[in-house]
Amino acid sequence: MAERRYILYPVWDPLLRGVHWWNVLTLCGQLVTGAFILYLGEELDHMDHEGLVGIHLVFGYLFAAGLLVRTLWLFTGPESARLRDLLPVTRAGRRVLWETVRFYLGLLRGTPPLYRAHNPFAGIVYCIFFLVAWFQVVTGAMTLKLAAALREDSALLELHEAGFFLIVLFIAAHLAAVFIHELVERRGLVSAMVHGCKIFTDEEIEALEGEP
Amino acid sequence: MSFYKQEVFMNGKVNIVFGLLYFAATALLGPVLLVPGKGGNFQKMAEATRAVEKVRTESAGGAPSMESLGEAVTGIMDYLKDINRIGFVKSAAHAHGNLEALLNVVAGLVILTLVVPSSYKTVLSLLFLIGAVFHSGMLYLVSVFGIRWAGNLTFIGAVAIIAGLVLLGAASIVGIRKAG
Ligand code: HEM
Repeated sequence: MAERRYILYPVWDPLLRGVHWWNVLTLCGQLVTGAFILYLGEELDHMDHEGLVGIHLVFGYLFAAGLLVRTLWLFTGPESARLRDLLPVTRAGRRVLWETVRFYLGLLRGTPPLYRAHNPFAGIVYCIFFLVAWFQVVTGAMTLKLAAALREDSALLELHEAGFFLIVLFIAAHLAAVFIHELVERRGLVSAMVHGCKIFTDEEIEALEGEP
Repeated sequence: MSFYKQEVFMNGKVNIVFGLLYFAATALLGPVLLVPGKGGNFQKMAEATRAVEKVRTESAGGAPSMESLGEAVTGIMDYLKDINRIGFVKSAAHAHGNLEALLNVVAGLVILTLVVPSSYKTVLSLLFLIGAVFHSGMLYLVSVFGIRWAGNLTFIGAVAIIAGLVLLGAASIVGIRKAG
């Protein structure tokens, strides 16, 4: 077997990584308190319920802060963090998108598609996640403006619940996808989200840098 | 590969300029608050005080009359309603606006001196602008121009200010360096 050189190649900037883990932590707080309110809300006495809603509100603000920063970073950050990197707007991006779809449909046989930072298929999902997350923040903030007596049967609260399930679905799919890609690509994706660098062979880097 | 393009766009200067001008606008609310009917209504306050005084003198020599008690209570309620209606929101726009204007000046000065990539300066700069415009700025729209729905947007500004402060703190740890 020929000698291969592996290179740690920087893909994620520090702010993107920091915001990613910040969002993971605050979203966990949101999901746990949200699930308690949703499933145990009626069994809790008044004080506990209000207390939980209060914690949910504080974590909601903290999550919204991370989301706002990530959203601004989509437009102001380095290239690997920009909206252009998430969405398949270039020809190369569209090619990788179809390669990824084909790779999934072919049940992960063959070589996995090669991309630098965001996989364009995942990128679309991340964009949808950002939108749903904003929707959650806005419906949550609006719900809190309603008088407590009106909240229970408000349509807003139902939308907020629907968003909850979409986010749970996203997280499950995201974790499964990271797991699968880690298995087939072996680039140290999770470590890359910690220290910023994915592992590529020098040939892969040549191929990547040859692209426009 | 370098992550960052060298661009000098929003490097803190815009926050300083904005902060100073915005401060002028929010500071002006101070004297406006003193105009009767615009801020707390001093005439109503004087009436309420007089009515309460009357109750006090009456109760020194026995039970005060129902009439004076009634006057005192309605006087106080009128005054409270009045400040609640206009004075409170206006003084909130005044106080938070002044603070956030100054915050932009300070943040702008810090951002200017930070040794960090320019995209970080841009995002920090934006967070403080959004913070002031969407927090006290919206309070300003509510109280000065009577645009009620703007009050619903204040949480965006609050969130931006929290994010800006935390990030500027973090950026200061790495980005404030000794010369040379
Ligand atoms: C719980 C909520 C989570 C959310 C909302 C979330 C969201 C995201 C988003 C939006 C991205 C795209 C990067 C960006 O553009 O900002 C991303 C990437 C990534 N996330 Fe998460 N994430 C979550 C949890 C996790 C967890 C628990 C792990 C690790 C086990 C993880 C590992 C990764 C990795 C490895 C990537 C990069 C994938 C790639 O290389 O294409 N995420 N995540």
